[in-house]
Parts: sequence; structure tokens; C-alpha cells
Amino acid sequence: MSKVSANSVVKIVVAEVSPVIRMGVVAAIKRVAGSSAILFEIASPGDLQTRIKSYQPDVLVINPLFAPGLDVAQLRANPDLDLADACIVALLSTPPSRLALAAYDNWLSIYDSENDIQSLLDALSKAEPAKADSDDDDEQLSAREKEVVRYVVKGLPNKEIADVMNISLFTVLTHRRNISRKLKIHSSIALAIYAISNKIATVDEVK
Amino acid sequence: MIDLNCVLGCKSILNLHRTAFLCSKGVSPDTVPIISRWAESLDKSSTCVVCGYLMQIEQQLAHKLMWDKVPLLLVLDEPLPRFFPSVFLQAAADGLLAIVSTAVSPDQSLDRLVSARIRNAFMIDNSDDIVVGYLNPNGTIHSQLDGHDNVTILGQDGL
Repeated sequence: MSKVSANSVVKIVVAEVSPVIRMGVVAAIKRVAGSSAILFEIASPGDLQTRIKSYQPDVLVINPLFAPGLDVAQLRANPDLDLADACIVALLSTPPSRLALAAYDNWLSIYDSENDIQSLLDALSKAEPAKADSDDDDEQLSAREKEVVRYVVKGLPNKEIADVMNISLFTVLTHRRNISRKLKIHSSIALAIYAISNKIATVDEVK
Repeated sequence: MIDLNCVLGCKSILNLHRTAFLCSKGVSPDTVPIISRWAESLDKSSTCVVCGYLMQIEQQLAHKLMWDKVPLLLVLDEPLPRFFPSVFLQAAADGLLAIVSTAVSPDQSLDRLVSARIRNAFMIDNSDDIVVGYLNPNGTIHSQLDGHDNVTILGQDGL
């Protein structure tokens, strides 16, 4: 991450019940990411929502078994948590099931080496240089940002948007932040109305 | 003057003649058909109705206007909701819907009466004329309309 996101600090939240695993993951990410990431921990399922609201993470690394019945898609869709722009990574202690991980953007195993973690962070952050906080007063969206808007209102997760547009997840996140800043829009329905009324998407495309 | 940066949706409808619809609480059932007939009499090619979305009568009117393809500026006294009925999306696609929120900030929750007064003031100040479904002589809207001569009152009877 330090290689590529020199102009932004990423908030990473690690949600894991086991203190050994949680602290280990936090320490490993810190070693790899250095000062380009701020790390927070969530130890208790009961604290999950309040802590997420408080931390507003860019990346949530969470054990799929962290809370009984944990539904990441619901978590992401919960308007109170403001996770729509965040990247959610599954923290695994067992071999992954593709089906179970469909709602996640990526995954990290507790057996991953530092190189693996570096690869994950690079995958998240290796970036075409997206303008993080442009001083540009022109609040019009760029062509790329409009493309992101179209995919967002179609309901594509960030990971799929990154794949379709052939850019990194962090670039998608940066585009989404810039879109929110420019349009002063912070809800998906408002973005849908913007997209529809500006002919970026059709009603049928909006999910 | 409306800050266009704060308006979501089709901003061009704001160039039409803007008619605000206000209504005191306690509108009688007898007044509802009168409001409905007024809505049906609107010239949709030249009029944009400025309407809230808090009271049931406002919601019913907003849906009727969208259904009838009448341009609508929806004024919310709270932050934009996370979900709208799909009729809103179609109205936006048709270029007939704009939405603005008069909430002071997304995190600030004001007393309901205060936020309603702010919203009403916005509607009154940004409309060419004002139509009132029902005016309670002891209500907030009555005091806010004091001194305005561009007001039409549809129904006199309250509950």
C-alpha cells in the first residue's frame, strides 16, 4: 500500500473475536502498510455496528464467522453504517468457499505470508493515480466517474466495478469519494436519481 | 434564490412557474377532493409544483403529480432518505422531478416544528405563488403567510 497510496491514509478495521488472530493480523498489516494505514480493531460482535459507524473504514477486514448470521451484503446495504464505499475483505482461518465469499471484495487468510498480505494490499491499492482530493472547482463528473456512477447504481460491488473497468479497488473507492464530494450525494438512492436524471443510467438499469 | 448545487434531479423544471403547495395539519376529508381537482387543473407544461413530503396529503399529492407527469420540486425537511419509491426514479427519468432538502446538516435533527418552519419558509420564498390546501388560522403556516398576497386557499374546513 505504501508503494501506491502516498497521498491518502487508509482506515482499516479488523473485526475478529480471537485476540491472538486479531492482533496478529493488525500487526502484520501494520508492518506491510506502514504509515499509510490507520488500523482499528473490533473484538466483540455486539460492538460491530457502533464501531463501524464510528470508524467509517475504507477497508473492513472481517471474519465471516465473527457474528452469528453475519450477512455482509446486508451490512454493506445498511444505510446507517455508510459502508457502500468501503472494501470488505473476508478474514479466513479455513479454506475459502467461493460461494460464501461472493459478497466480499477480497479475502485474507490467517496463514497468509507478509508477501501475500502485501499482494492483497497492492491489489487494493495499486492504482492509476486517481485524484484523491482534487482542488478542481469544477463539480462536473469526469467520464470515468460517470462510468463508476453507472456501475454503482446498477448494483455492482466495488470489486466488480474494479474488474470491469480494469482499475484497482482503491481507485474505485477514490472515484466514489470524489463523486460523493462533487455531488454532495451520500446515499445510493440519491445517486440513482442523479444518474437517471442526467441520463447516465436508465430506470431499468438501477438496482 | 435556490442554490442549484443543492438540488438533485432535473434542475431545468425550476425555470417553470413555481407554485408551492402548503397545508396545515388537520385537513378534512372534504378538502382532499378539492386539492385533487386543483392538481388536475394544473398546466403541466408551464407549472412546477413545490411540495413537501411529510404529511400524508403531501405524499398523496406528490405521487399524483408524478403519476400525472406534472413537474415537481420536492422539498424535504430532513436529509434525503435512503430509499424512494420507484415512481420517483421514473419521474427523474422523465425529467420531471427535482429534490431539495432544507435540513441544516445531515446529522442535525431539529425539532419537528422548527424544521417544518424552515422548509415552509424555503417553499414560500422560492415560489411564484402559493396554494394552501387547508389553512389553520392558529397554525404555523398562517403566521408564515402573513403579508403575502399571492396565496390561494382551497379548503376552509379543518377537522
